[in-house]
Amino acid sequence: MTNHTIPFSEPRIRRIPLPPGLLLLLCLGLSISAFAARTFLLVACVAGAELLLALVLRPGIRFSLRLLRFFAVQSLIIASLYVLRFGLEQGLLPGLRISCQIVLAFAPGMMALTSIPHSQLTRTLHRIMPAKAAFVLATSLRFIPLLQKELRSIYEAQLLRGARISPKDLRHLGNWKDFVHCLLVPFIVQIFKMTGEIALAAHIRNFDASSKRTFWPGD
Amino acid sequence: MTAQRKAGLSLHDALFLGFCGVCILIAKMAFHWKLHIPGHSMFFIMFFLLLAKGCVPNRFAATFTGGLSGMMALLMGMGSGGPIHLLKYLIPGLVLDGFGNLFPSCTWRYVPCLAAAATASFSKFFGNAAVDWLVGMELAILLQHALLQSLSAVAFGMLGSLLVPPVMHRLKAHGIIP
Repeated sequence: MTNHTIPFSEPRIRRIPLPPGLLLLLCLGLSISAFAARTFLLVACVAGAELLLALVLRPGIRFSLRLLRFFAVQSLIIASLYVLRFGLEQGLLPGLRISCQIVLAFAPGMMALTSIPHSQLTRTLHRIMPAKAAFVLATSLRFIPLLQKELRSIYEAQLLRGARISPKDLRHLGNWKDFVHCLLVPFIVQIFKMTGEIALAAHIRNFDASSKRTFWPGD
Repeated sequence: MTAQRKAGLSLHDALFLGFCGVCILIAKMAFHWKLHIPGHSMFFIMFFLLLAKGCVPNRFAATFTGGLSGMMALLMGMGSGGPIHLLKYLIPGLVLDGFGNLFPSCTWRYVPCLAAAATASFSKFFGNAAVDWLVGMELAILLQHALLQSLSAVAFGMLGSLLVPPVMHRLKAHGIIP
């Protein structure tokens, strides 16, 4: 198990120039345009529009690298399939166009979700989701660090007890029995316990008592 | 999960499903396999969706878990599909719910569990095919591309489902589920 921290902090760009709902709609429009663009000229127009959006949102180097890797993988697979079927001359350009279209269709959504702060996005979701689902979503997100901590403490305790659950041990199929009995089952039992306590705490505070849900004023 | 809860989704059940959704993401991040094989995340998706379906007696347990997991992945900026990434979690959940409603004991035995996981993982094929069709890809290439991307997902999904029956039996032995 590695010590990756969950990307739970707010994105670097705190203020976006458009309301989150409008930005998501704009991104949806750009994605649809990318799907509909069937010539290189139209693809270039959509790419230009998305570049403008990227200049406004400034999603960062990490995002650009991830998008480039996605483009490279897609182009390799799709262009290879087109070249195998139609030959190099007739297959390469359509294959590249299709790869561009797929990347351009996915990029606006990725960009928006990287740029919009979590709090604003959650608030936007509250408008379209039932209150209980929104509560569960917000609570689950809030408990991610705690769940990760629980998982790590169970993992370390079981390693100390001699359980064969380290990444090296799990290369042997026989050790997956230890993985199930020493890590998964205690972790799931812990989840049952935690969810029971949270539900009880919410009921004590009259959650679901009124059909009209109220919220603390946020940022 | 008591019999009383069968009437509807209680807050405890809903939170458990939400936490199963979180576990999919935590497992993806904690183990973070550097395999670079498409579809390896289906291992955890299938395990936790099947677990949710087995532990919570609700017709849409896996769909709810998948939907929440997809939403959380979007909120955390994970995945490379943007909003379309949601379908990656939602469609397998829908398929598992359909399968689980037809065969209620599918999470307790290996063979039905494997069949459910294979069917649900293969649903990735349709998602990929739909995206390829929307961008106007040739039909023959579309099928090959979607098949390439979904075959490994099926293999990993089936492997993940193998962990479910022993976990379910252990949870029953502990008195967590009836």
